[in-house]
Parts: sequence; structure tokens; C-alpha cells
Amino acid sequence: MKAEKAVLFILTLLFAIVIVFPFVYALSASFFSASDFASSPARFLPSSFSFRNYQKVLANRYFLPYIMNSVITGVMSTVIRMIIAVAAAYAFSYYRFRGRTFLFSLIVLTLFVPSDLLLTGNYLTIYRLGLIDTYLGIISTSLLPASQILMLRQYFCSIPSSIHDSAMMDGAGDGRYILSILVPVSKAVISTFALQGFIAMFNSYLWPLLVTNSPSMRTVQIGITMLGYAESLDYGPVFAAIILIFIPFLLLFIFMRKRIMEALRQGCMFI
Amino acid sequence: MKAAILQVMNKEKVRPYLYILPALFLAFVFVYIPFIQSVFSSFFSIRQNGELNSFTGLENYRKLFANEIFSESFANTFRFMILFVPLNIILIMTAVLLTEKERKGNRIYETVFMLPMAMGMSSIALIFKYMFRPSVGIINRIIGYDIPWTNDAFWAMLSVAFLGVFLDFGLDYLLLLSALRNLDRSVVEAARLDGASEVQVFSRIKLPLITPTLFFVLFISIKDALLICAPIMVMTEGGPFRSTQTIVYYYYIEAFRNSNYAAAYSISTLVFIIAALITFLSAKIERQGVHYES
Repeated sequence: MKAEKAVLFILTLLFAIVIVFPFVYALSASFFSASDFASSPARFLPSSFSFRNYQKVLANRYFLPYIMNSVITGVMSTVIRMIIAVAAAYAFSYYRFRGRTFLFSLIVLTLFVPSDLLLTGNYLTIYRLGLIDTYLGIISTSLLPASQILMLRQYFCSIPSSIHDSAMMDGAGDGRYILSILVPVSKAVISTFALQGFIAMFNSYLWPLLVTNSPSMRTVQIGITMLGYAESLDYGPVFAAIILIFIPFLLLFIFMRKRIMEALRQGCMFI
Repeated sequence: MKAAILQVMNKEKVRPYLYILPALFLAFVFVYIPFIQSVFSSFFSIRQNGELNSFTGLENYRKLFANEIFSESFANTFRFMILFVPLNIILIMTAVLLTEKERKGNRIYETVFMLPMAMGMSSIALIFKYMFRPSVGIINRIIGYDIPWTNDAFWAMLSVAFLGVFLDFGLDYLLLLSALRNLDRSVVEAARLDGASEVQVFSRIKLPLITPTLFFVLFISIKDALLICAPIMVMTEGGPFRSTQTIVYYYYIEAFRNSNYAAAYSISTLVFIIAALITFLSAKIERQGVHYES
């Protein structure tokens, strides 16, 4: 029994090490000099310790704009998505109206159409609207929160309808009910969705690549592949950039872990 | 008075439609219209500027099937799927089972296994690109062999599959972990009291109860494999010699580098059909063979 426990412990540790390794290696490589990357056998640790790579990437005139673009588009799309999701889920759970089921399935069915294959048509739409190289163009295709509507509706329906009824009886309007009861009650779920939406926007690659032309409009996930150091085989600044972008997300995830687990416990699939 | 009441009633009736209008608008503009337009256009010859030329029936499809790069990309996608899906399910299931118990020590592991979700796709793909370099890469140093990762078709595909597993790890781990933890404890306890071994408890009780989630993760993995493109763009750019160029990557190249819209529309229509088939089949199997708790 003891031996079995030890084996399981070591196996778990091994898994954790494999998952953590790319992160630790990236951190170490962010201090590598250009020649450290070419050394054979490969190095685990830098030959000398300096913040040269970080200085280099922070001095790059595009790096901070990349981050700004990502943050702005991330926040914009998250806020719009959450408003659209809560409004639609509210209507689907508290109103009876003609075509309700049909309209609901119309929204859910979009989940089954792979969006990467709609790039051509969507590109033409954005191009004709003159939205190339704009924030609105970048966020346009990720504004529909179909899975969130699906899950929020399920979640809202699990809240006793007597609360809704008595709030309405007391003369609270939809907006009042949503803001002072529904949103506070669904805090864990909504904040998990917001985090997920922000990350999805922040990480999206193909679409922002297509609809941005000027370097000053690129988002950071595209930007780091184009920092231009790779040509000189000096990857250090790229790794420094990767680490700089990662740190806030690491903190956010550690901070949000409890809420994510809570949302999952309440049956939210978090797609 | 009467008119005022009517007005309010009307408002009440219109209101739910107003609430769902933004979502519906987006669904039509960015999903249904481009979807219909691309399927429709796949039956036409198309000018370089994207305008439809003339109806040609299945001509675009005939050209596509005669195209070697298309069948190659198709085969590559299938190779990726064969490597990625089992690897993904087995590794994630193992990680979940190892950290299933809800106790303090496992919280660290939970956070660790969630980490891949916290780093962006292209960051991870770039890190993998450098880790898997042949000769001077860190992975080869660790395993002590000089594996020609990105220089050889098979190894390149395997390294891309590893990347795929890493990218999906956090989410799939969380889904399965919460499924296992949300099980009805009393059933498990009752079985243990009746003298069932841990293996029996797992195979007879836990596994059947989490099959819906397991099935969902499997379905998502297959779909992810069918549609993979961006991570490969960053890590291998489809190389060496197009050996990791998948079907959606090929679609992207035809649409945005070659402006060959006829090919792009017919590829996307074919992948739509395959994706729909996978969805349909999995729904069918799910209805037949998957155990649900009440």
C-alpha cells in the first residue's frame, strides 16, 4: 500500500513537472544570450544573468502597443459579450414568446459551424464595412456568446422563479432585477465566463491576423511572432515578451482558481 | 386610456425580442450568411476579386479531388487526429485520476494543470518550436537522443500533436475533474462498503457515470483535430515539405495567399460536411451507448 502510494505520488509529480517545464524553460530562456541559443548541447540555464532581453523588448516600439491593442480588444469584446449574453439568456429564461425555441436553437446551432472556415466571408464583410485595421473589426467575429447564452439560460432557470415573481410584483423592472439580483447571484458563473471570453479574445490568432495590416494595430499574440528577432537567431527578447505577457494571466488564474472550480461545480461547461 | 394600455402590452410583447436581437443579428451576419454564401459559391467559378463568375456545378470539387496538395493535407489532418486524440484522452484521464481527491495537496496540482490555459496559443507554440528544435533543442538534450523533430514528417507531426495536447490540457482536465468530483459520493461509498476494490469502483461506477463528460471531451478533441490550423502555422508553418499542412491550413492558404476562392469555398464546404457528420454520429452513439445519471 505504501509502495503504491509512493508510485502514484511520483507519477503525479512527473506529470506536473512535464506541464510546468515549458513555462520554466521559457523563463530561463528569457535570460539567454544569442549564443546561448546556439550552444550544443542545449542549455537549461543562461550563461550569465542579465535583463538585457527584457530591456530590448520593452524598447521595441511595437511591443507596448501590441499589449494595449490586446487589452483594449479583450475588454471591449468581454463587456459587449457579457451584456449580450445576460440579456439574451434573461429573455430565454423568463419570457414566453412566439418562436422562443426556434430562435434559441438558431443561436445554439452557431456553435456547430466551425468559425475558422467562415474567414473568407467574414473578411469580405469587414472589408466592405471599412473596418480593416480597427478594434471593431478585430472583435466583430467574437461578439456572439452562443455557449454562454446556452449555459446562462440553464443557470438562470435553476434560480427559483418565485424570486423573479416577487421582484416583479414589487415593481422592479427587468434591468433592476438583472443588476441587483441576477448578476450578484450568478457571480461565480459570470466572472468565469468573462475571464474565458477575455482569454479567448486575447488568444485569437487567425482572425486578428487577417483584419490588421499596420503593425500598430496588431494584437500581442500575433505581434510576438513578428518581433523580428528570430531572423538574427536571437530569440531571447521573444521569450522575455512571452514571460511579460504571461505574468498577469498567471496571477489572474491563481486568483480565479476557486471561482472557476465553483462555476464548474455548478455545472458550467466552460467552453 | 385604451391606447396607453395597448402600447404597454405591445412593449411587453416586443421586449424579449429586443433582448435577443443583438445575439441574433450577430448569428446571421457572422455565421449564417457567410456560411450560406460559401456553400453557394462553391458551385461557381470565381474571379480573382471574389466575384462569382458562372455556375459550374461540381467542377470545383472535381478539381479539388484531382489536386494532390488537397489529398495530402487531408491525409495529414487524419494523421494528426490519430496521434492527437488518443494521446490527449489517455494523458488527461491519467492526470485527472491522479489528482481526483479533493484535498489540500491537490490544489497545487489543479493550478499547475490549469496553467496551459493561462498562456496564449502562439506563446506556447513558439516555446514548443524552440524546445523541439532538432540537434540543439532542449527536448533532445533531456531524452538523450537526436530526434529530427522538425526535419522529418513523422516526428514533426508528433511534436505538433504534443503541442495540441498541451494547448487543450487545462480545459479538458477541468471538465473531467469536475465531472468526477460531482459524482454522487454515496454510490461510491456504498460500493466500497460492499467490498469493491478501487479498480472495480473505477471501472463499474465512476467510469460509467462520467462517460457523458468523457464523451464530450472526446468529441471536442476530434473536432479540434479536424480544424487545427493556427498552432501549426506558428510552430512548423506546415513543414517540413508540407507534411504538417492540415486541411484548414490549406483552406487558409488557398483563400488568403492564392486568392483561389473557388478552392477555398469547396474545401470549407467539405469540412462543414465532415464536422456535421462527426456531430451527428456522436449524438447518435451518445443516445445509444452512454450511461446518464437519471
